[in-house]
Amino acid sequence: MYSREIDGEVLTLSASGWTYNNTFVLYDYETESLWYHLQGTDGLTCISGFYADRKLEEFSSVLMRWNDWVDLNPDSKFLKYPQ
Amino acid sequence: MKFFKTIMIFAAAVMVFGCEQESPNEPFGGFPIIRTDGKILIEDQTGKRWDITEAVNKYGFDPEKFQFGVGPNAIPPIMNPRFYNPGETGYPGNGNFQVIGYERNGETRAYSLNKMVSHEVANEVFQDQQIAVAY
Repeated sequence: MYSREIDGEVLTLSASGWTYNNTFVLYDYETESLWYHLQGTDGLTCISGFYADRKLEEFSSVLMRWNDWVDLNPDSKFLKYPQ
Repeated sequence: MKFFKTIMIFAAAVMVFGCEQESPNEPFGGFPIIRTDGKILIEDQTGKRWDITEAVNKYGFDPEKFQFGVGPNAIPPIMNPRFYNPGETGYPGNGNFQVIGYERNGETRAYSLNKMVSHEVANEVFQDQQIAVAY
């Protein structure tokens, strides 16, 4: 989970259709910069385009079983899908 | 017999999928790479060209190792999703499925992983923070 705010702008992130080393390469609609989670770093790094070398901050998230998550977080909301 | 056929089709699908995972470079690599005016571009399956100059020159990406290239519209992101509250119809009961969970200032949200697989990214606002959840 990442911030998508940079220099006061809000980016819309999406899959670019590419993967690299089995990891999705993302891009933003606004500038078509490419964003990638470089191994051994936090956050998304802009590897090409308008925001080259800039980073989007990472916030912590967990991957776990629903039962375990809701035991720990009984007030948790749950993604409505389809919308 | 019909049941047997179904099993065979399923097995074939598993084999094909398994092959993809075992040799990801074939046949998903080999995209056109264009070097012009000091720029390096790579063309995906839709004909769209992506500038990967800095990725290659600064971050050491190998243009040959970009894979799939299915185009930017193939995997649309989730936009400003809504959420079920506990007790609401549609809120899951017991389940062993995997979720991505996150917390901010005491508020918690969870995404079912199998929904994220077909979208890869969700763009939303969480309290005062614009975030992207990516799998």
